[in-house]
Amino acid sequence: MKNLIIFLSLFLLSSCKSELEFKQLPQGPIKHQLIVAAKTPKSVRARGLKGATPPQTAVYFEVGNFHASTISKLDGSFDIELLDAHHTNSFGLLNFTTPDKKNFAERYEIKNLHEALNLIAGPSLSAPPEISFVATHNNEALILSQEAALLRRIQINGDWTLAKPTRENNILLNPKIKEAPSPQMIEAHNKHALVSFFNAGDVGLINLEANKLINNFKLPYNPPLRSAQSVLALDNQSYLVSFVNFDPAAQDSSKAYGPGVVALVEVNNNLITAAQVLTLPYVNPYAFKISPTNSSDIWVMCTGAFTNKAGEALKTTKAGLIKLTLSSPNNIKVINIAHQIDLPDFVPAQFELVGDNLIIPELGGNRLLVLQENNLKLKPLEANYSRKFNFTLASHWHDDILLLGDESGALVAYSLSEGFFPFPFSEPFYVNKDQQIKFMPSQIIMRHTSENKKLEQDYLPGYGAWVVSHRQNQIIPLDFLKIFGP
Amino acid sequence: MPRIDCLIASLSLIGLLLSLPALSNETVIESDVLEQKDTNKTYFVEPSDKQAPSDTSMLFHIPGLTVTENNGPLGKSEIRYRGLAGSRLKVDIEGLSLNNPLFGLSDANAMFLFAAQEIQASSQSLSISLPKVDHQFAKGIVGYGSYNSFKLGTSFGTPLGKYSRIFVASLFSSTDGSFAYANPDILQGPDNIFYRQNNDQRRFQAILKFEHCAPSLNAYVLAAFNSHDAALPGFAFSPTLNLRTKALFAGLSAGFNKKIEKAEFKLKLSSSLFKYESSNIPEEHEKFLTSTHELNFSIDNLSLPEWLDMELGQILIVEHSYDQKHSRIGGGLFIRRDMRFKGSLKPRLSAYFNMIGYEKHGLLFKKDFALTIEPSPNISVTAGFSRVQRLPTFMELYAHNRFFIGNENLKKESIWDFQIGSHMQFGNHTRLQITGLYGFLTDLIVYEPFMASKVRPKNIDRATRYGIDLGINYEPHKWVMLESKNSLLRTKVKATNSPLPQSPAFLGLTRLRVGPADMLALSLQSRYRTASFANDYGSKATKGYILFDALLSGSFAEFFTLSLSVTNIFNVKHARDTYEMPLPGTIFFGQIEVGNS
Repeated sequence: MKNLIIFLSLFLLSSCKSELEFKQLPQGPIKHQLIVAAKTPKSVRARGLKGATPPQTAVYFEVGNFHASTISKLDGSFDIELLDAHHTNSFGLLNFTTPDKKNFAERYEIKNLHEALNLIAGPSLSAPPEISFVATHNNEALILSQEAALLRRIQINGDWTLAKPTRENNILLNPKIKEAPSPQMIEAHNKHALVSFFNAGDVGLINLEANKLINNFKLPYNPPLRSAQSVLALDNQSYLVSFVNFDPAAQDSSKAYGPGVVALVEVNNNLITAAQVLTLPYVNPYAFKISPTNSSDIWVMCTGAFTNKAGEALKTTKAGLIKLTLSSPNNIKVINIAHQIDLPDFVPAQFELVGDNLIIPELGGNRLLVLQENNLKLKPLEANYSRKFNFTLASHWHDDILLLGDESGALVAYSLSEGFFPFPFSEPFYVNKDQQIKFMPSQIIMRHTSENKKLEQDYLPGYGAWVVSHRQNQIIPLDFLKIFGP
Repeated sequence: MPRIDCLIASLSLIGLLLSLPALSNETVIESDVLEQKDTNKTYFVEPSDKQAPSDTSMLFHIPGLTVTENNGPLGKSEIRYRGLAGSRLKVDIEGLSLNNPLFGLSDANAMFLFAAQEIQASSQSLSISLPKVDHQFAKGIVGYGSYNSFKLGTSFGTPLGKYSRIFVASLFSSTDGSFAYANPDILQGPDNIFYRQNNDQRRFQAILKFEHCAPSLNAYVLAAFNSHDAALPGFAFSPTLNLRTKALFAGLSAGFNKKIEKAEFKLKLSSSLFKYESSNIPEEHEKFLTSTHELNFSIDNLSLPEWLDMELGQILIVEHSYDQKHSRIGGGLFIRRDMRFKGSLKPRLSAYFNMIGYEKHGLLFKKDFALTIEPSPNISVTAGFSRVQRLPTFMELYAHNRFFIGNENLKKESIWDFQIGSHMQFGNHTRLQITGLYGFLTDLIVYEPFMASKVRPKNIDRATRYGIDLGINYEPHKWVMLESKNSLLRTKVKATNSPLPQSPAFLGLTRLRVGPADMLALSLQSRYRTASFANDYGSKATKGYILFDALLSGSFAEFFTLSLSVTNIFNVKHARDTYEMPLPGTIFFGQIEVGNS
């Protein structure tokens, strides 16, 4: 009887163990989260991305009777290809000799990329029923629910899954039950968060310490600003807010968009004041991005006014990119339009900045614009990829590699130096593996970016990114160690 | 254009009425307005079902049927039967289709249940029947309750001379709709009480049926009218404070059966108009007007052996959407056979085949087959198969608005079902119904994201559904009755790997009545359901709930009935049928009925 109780207890305890198992990587100067060994149609290839090893590390790669060696570049990357080795073993050996003569050897599984890529996406996280926008802040997911007009604060676990939601930390965004406010985006900085309300046309200030919505603020402007869209925190006090000025009653959809406006607002003593309001030359200012090379430069992407009719492809007019510069003469923050780029015949999706490059996928289309910030003429470096995709967004992963979301649920890798499908992301991989219906990725949130880290820093076991679908109300986590690492 | 439809319908009716006297010296023909099938389950409407503010109370007694209350008891409510709703679920009253070609059936409170006597449910349809008028009766009701809900109704039926009878009923109901609810996503407490705004509802329904059952002729005319003027409050915490809708349904059905020598001829014409309007501030208007006309002509061969009935008929259907400027015309035939065999098991076979051709959509089939045996006088077992196809709605084909883009390339959708069920009776006190269902839908139409913020329908693979319905009625004495109706259902849409929306895995009602129903009775009932999903992706869930209701009614001299119903006794304010659509807390409703029935 005693044995039976022990057995049952052990059985129950083992069944309580989390089903999620993440790869543990050896600590040290070799960053295995950036190293992959995989088969290609004619070879076995081992590749270390930027930061994979200390500069000038000797790398030896052996698979069966095939072997080769190389010295990693100054950025720590390396690439070794063993021709004809793809028929041999499933495992290989990677040996690293760092410049300080230390040896690190690791047995690597030779991945079949077609299989491994489709293991990257994990099961949908146990998330709230409605997900309209997700932001992360201090190990918390801030999840906006548009219909529920609710901000849900959910703890992020160490493996980048979500803790069980609790009601204690939820914040009602429409406690007085006014007309549907339609919360659109949220941006948190220290103890405050700002929420944009599209229908109400105002912004809400949330005190995260007090866990409550302090107030809603309509910015004084004539004519009144409508359709608050995007929010960007500049520092503890300053935020940028964009206004679409959308008129839902307009019969002609192309005339529904008023001039795009960006407001610089200041938060002081739980009050919001408008420091500056800037009318933009384009319409529908959808998103902000701070330049990674100069934090005073802020890019605004204006999607333009949608003019599509039944049966026609998606079209917009007055779409463009605007570069704002932030300066502080006399300690007063000021924004100015430094440059603008017309985007005729191109509907921009969520864009990304990598170094001094702007990468803009075509919303619902197959083209990609790559512009150099220091060469601000409209000069597409890559367009019209032969395979048909309908892009929804771009998000920077590591080095010069981005992930592009396709509305079907595929993620497509793009490298600024290598083009589409850089090794090992040699084909699209799907986040909706068991579905045949469009997933419509709306956001890709990289864990390392969210935690203000570099991917080449010490790896923490767990998921490395979330793909969010607002349409399906799902968060699909990505585990890149299904292809990277031993 | 709508005037032309009205004119056609009116002329058809006048023509039929004028022709009645000329046909009045023919032989008696049995009334056959309502199509009967062995796989159908019949649910009788009890007086207590009409003593609550909402018409839909009766529907809770049908296992597997979900009533999704969106805006309180008198608001627009969606019904799903074993996962099917809208245009997938056909609903008719005495043969007059209540589905419109725009959405299908979109409101359970517009089903004329206030006048119903019984509902027959098959796996893919509901048929509502009116009371049989074999004596004179008249009844008036007036009721008032929480949220200023008010109900005023009349029903009247009388034989007219030797062969004719008439039934007329009307109901006006209204509410200010300002009910209290709580948010399930924040902590419960005094701060968590809110009020549903912009939810006032006004509804008027009227129905008239005239039947003439002379020795030579059976003819009928049925007219039904529903008008609903309501505010649409939107989601709980994202309300639409100025959004209003108006819906109007007007239907007319007339037909006669005539026997000539060895054949019986039947002719039926049904016409209906459906109008839907919405308005909002800032100014946004949406308007739809559709019409449906159906002509059936059939012959029943009376010279066949006694064990075989067979009917052959033709159907012509015309559907038109005025605002979208689209029509579709279908024509075809149907065959119905019923066979009764000898033997101790008393086997019966019934089969129905219907084929209608449409210009753009090809042939549309409906097939039913059922075998019934009676192993003992108190037990019957039925196994059946049915397959029905439906055309995409006009919305699915041609809509183009801010949220929805039609798809003219949609194919028809098919629903296949296999059922086996049994009715058992033990003594005079216990009845048991059990039904197992396995079915699937092919070329399923799902709404997938399209462009930035819209959806577009698309045919995609299939969905499966299977489950068990179980119903028990136990009435050992006039003073006590126990009823329990439960259903287990599992559905899965292959394309999304998710259940069909609003299809809880477990759903049911259990009711205990103490006291004779025709004197002084107290009924206590519980309604319960597990979680269900509000969207096609299985990601927007609403938690399950259990609610308790009570009804006290007393009748005096079979002429005067007083009743008091309390819905949701424990004032559960956070229960929801669908995401962000709160159910009201406790509702009190008192009603006075005067007259006989």
